Amino acid sequence: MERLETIVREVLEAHAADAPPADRLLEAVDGRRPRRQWSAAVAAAVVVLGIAVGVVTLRGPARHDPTVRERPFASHERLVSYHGISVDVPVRLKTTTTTCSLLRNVVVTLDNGSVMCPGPGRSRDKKPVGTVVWLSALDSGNAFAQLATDSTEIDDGYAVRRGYGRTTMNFDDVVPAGAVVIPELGLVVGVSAPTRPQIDAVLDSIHPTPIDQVGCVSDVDTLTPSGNAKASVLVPGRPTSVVRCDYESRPRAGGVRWLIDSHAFDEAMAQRAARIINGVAFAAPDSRWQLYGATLYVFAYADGTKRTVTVSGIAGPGQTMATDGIHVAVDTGHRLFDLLPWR
Amino acid sequence: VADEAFADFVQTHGADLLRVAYLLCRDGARAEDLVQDALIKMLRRWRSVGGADHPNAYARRVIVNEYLGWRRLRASDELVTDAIDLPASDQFDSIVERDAVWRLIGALAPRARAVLVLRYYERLTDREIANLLGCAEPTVRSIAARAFTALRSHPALATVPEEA
Repeated sequence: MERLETIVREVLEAHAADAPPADRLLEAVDGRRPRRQWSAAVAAAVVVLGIAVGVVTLRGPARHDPTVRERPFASHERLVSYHGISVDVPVRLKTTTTTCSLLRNVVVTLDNGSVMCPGPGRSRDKKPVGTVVWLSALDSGNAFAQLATDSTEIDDGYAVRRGYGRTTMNFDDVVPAGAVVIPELGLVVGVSAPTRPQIDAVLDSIHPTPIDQVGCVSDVDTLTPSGNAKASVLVPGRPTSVVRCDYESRPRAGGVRWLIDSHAFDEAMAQRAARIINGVAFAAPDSRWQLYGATLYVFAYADGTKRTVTVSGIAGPGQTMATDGIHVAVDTGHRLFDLLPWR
Repeated sequence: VADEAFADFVQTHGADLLRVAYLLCRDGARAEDLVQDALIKMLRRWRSVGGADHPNAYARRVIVNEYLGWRRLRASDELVTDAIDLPASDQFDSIVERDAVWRLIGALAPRARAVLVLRYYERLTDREIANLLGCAEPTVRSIAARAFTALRSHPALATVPEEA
């Protein structure tokens, strides 16, 4: 058996212990078991009639609920920001953000929208490769940086290096590639695509964004939530939007964390997030907690005020913590981690 | 008599069923709902089910199917997991590794998660899983292989060696 299979088995066995106790199960089933009674039959008939009337009433002019199954802020999917720069990616591409072990701190976009984090020297995705954009740290030692040999500039006067070549990185086939290195920011943008114009379309779009298009700061040295001691919940009232700023899990030298992804959500999603966060019970913080992950949720209100909540994982028990700096809520399930859709 | 047999069944297997349901849906309240729903269905058919060789297998099948049906209703909530960083010490790495596995299993498609739970927690054979899910045995293997590919693609797990 592979070691990963062993880990999966051990993890499942460990978490099975978190299942609810069975001591009241029989009682609960007995309380819910169907019993044939005239009153129940009459009630059921009323419900069925009500549903039928409702269906008839709702039919007619088509209704459109804009919050249903629509991805929020779809227009922003073209612009991917990462530690102070943004790039346009072709609008036909889906974008997916991940952090790969081979290249730390990477944003990958792929024609089929899937995450691609293969190990060195082998392909994990045999699908035809289209345009792929890697945004990564210069110190991660990726091969794209070696392509960038010509000195030039981008917007705002950043001195950069730019170059082209071919790469087999992560693919079975050799594909055209290009790269821009921005030494001042410690960044590499690598692109592989079927043609040079497709590569240039991405590289030409690189522009600095110290605060990105949804309002996330390119790097932070502290993750500062904004709490209110009097509030009984982490997200009071009715927020009108929320922005999620994802920062690196581990701080870099000097305690700075880079922005690695951001996303804005509309009012419906903001209120959904608020409901989920507020539904998690407060807990006393434990000094033994080892936190990882660093996501800021910045809720905005109609009067212009904002409320920031930080969400982090707690290593070990698989729990997730949300805090406004004053109150701490701990989720033993998956609600805070899955708070809003990733890309 | 039927009620007594059913009560015995719940007393004997209820905790096991709750654990499987919890591993599938990862929420205590939902796990209780799943198991209660399954048991109520069983109770309605107890005369035929209770006499079967493996009423527990029947309950498990109902739970898995209920779970898959429930997840289908929430398909839009299927999520991709975010990065988990790798702190320094070996011990901490191991903790994070297991945390990552738990989170990543939670982010798998419902059938993939069900296959892993049935194969590695319930220790069913691929044939038994195929029978339970109503698919072919190679399909089970394929789902499991893709699930492991997804797990391995995560940075926290990419360095886990192939062999135990």
